[in-house]
Amino acid sequence: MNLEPTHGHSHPLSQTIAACIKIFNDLGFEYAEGPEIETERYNFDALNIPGHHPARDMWDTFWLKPEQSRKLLRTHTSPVQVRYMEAHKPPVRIIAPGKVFRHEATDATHEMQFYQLEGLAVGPDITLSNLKWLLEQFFEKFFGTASAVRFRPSYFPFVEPGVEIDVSCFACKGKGMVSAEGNTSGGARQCSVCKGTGWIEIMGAGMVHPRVLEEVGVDPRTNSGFAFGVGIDRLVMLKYGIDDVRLLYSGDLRLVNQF
Amino acid sequence: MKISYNWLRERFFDGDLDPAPHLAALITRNAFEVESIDENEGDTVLDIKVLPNRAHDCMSHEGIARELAVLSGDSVSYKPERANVSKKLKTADHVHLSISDGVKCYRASKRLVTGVKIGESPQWLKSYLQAVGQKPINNVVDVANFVMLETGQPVHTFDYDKIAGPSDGPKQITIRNARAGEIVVGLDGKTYTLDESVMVIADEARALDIAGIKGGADSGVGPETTRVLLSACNFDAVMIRQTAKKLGLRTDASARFEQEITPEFVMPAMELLAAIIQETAGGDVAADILDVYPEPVQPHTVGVSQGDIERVLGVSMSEKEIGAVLTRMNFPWHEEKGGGLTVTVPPSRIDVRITEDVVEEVERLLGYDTLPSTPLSPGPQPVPHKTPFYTEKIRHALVDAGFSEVYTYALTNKGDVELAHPPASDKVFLRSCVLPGINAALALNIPSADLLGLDRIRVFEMGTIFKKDEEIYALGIGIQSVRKEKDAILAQELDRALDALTVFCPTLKTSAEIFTEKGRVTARVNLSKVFTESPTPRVYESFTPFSSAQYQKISPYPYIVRDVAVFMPEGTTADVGWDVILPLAGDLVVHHYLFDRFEKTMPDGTKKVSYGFRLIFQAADRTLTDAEVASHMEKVTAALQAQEGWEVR
Repeated sequence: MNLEPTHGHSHPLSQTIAACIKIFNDLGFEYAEGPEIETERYNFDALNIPGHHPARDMWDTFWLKPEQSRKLLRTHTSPVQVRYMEAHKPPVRIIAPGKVFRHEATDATHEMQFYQLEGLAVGPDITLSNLKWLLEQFFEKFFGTASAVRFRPSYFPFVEPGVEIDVSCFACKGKGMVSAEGNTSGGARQCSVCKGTGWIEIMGAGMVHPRVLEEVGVDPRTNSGFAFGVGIDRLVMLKYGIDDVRLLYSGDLRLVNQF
Repeated sequence: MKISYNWLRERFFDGDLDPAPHLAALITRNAFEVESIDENEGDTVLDIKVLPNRAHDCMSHEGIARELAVLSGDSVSYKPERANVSKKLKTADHVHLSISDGVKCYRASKRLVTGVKIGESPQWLKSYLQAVGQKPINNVVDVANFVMLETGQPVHTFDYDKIAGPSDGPKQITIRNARAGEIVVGLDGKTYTLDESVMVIADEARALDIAGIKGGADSGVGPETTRVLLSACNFDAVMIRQTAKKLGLRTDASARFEQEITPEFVMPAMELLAAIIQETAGGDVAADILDVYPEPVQPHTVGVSQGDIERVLGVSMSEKEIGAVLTRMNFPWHEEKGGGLTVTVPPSRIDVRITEDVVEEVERLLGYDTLPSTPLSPGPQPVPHKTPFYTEKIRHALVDAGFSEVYTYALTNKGDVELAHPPASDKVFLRSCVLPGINAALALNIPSADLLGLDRIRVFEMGTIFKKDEEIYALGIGIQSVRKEKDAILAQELDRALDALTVFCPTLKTSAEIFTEKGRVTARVNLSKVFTESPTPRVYESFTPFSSAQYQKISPYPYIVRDVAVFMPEGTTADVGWDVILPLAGDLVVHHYLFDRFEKTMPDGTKKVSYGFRLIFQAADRTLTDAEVASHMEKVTAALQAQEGWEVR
């Protein structure tokens, strides 16, 4: 039928995850993985998120039957940090991409399953300023352009200090404006990727909370660590200009075959 | 949390405050996200996303004001009102207050105000409440609401005369656990049936309210009230949260208690409450406040040193510099003889408990934009892992063989593992097989075959499936015919694909389970097992660059296929044909490809080549009509026919 040779296409999520794995591998971070069905202990308690604490509201959880089993679908990739540290003494440098689940209504920017990439470094000399450097290196390779990174105060129970991280917008190089192509007046228009701010909110991070370290038998007085978690789907949507996250899971080749 | 600019400026900064956008920028850089700034009838309202660990002290105008002052270096000028007390009126003569044993109420306080006149609240009070989305009710209840939004401490007002006991007291008020089956009708008119896990404020006859959560209808302040009993208490955060959840009741009060407020907020709130009620509704305020506070909070101290700042942040600060920041934060501190500082944490800051909390406060105040960027010291060489290594090899091999990758849903309508609270009737189980998703994807894409120029639909997926006690990483592959062809061809193609994968995963083909049906062939493989039987990789394949494509929105409108076949002189390439066709076919052509080619010797001996050109027309915003497409095709056909030696078939 179609005489021209057709090759298939890999999914934009896969391309992105594979790139992240390799970039971090070159930066000294080893791939780690963990189960998608988790225990309450690994998903919450060991991460300093006790039961009956309002912090649990930060995640809409899919609990499994029977409820007494306290098993759930992991709400983030952070449990992999705990599992890994139980099995490996510091120094530790890992990344863990994986599927996570949230009991949320789906719409163009929310899905019940999506991908996160977790990063963790623990050692005698790991500081928050190392994290800033690491992310600058990663984003430069990922976006293919020099990228600035900006931290803002935030809160997650498993890190202290906790930060939100913005990266300079790859589409307008942080300027907030893009020149309109084919615009005879040569005017610039607001960058649609960053909505003119020049920054994209990209991930949460922080220094691993001493209680989390103690829980896995690491002495917080002699070791410190940083951890970060980035939403891959969002990164993919920003990079490729995909406007509806549900398209990523539709099985529709009209999406996949564009890449 | 909605914060009124006027409220901040008038009550905490003596009328002198930077404009709202400045405040928003300061808060965003150093504290919380400001979600919006809205002008609202002469006031500006900032919607501030207070972080969960500061909800105990910053869900109030006072909390935000103090935080702003710390961040900007300005001082707060707060002069909370004090009531004129009546020496003759004593709460203790009219109320006896106690907390029952074992009840998780950490502080209870009561004060009597007599001779009030219930009416409308003054304009200043109504304006503040309305600015932050609250509805004014009367000049006592509004004050209680105001006090909570100003200080962060929930307070309540009872109609003293609706409390059981002798008319002039003493009336017994007890904070106790409810009895099984005890009923309270809330201020919302709803009936709540309680049990022993719920705390109540009770008189000698019945429970008056659901403590910390909702006032009772039959003891609340109404138009006929003349004697008001003020109440401010502190309750256990976990108990309040559990009760609110159990009763399906979340209120402004319970949302604050849930976060664990310091009991030290009770007294200032009580004083303010009495003072402003007196101002708005008149009355005599009792000189005494009944206060049951079994275990007053003790000051909390935390150590912090130069070494801690260095260790956590990678920032170099002298102890003098650290001390200066702590002073700005209103955290008293002193130096320790052996080095380091000991910080006394103010009672309102229950979120500051360990050294790292202090480090965060210091860095937050300095601003994270001052954080340097320091390279990581070299670490051990990472070892490649089988999962990503083989996943990528399988992906590349299948893509080369013409397969496209899909991701489908893990939540589905059948499986071995069930959700406790399914989000939808077709998402009850975790998938136990990868093939239903493959089959659905194959069927979904059949109508798009021509649009995409596919002679068959070929898909694969790699993902987790869930058996009763096991997670398995599985591969699913599927091939679907879109026109009549022999099933054996599909089976052969699948076989070749599996062979390609077995080059590097030796047991893959033998582990594959193959399924055939009319026009379709699928296979599934347990990759978890196959990977354990494959060699350990030594190095990842090199980084392949991303696709640089930008997503083109998929049109929901139908597409139209038009073919034109042309005889051309032998040796003519298809490109020459496209060069004629495409400019005339127009912008509505979303895809084009060659679907046929053959050579023929004509009756007159000349050798010709025939090409079949396929055009796919589709609009982004409408259904195309045959007429629109026909006009383009007429131009195309005419141009082709006009070429020397070409003949449209």
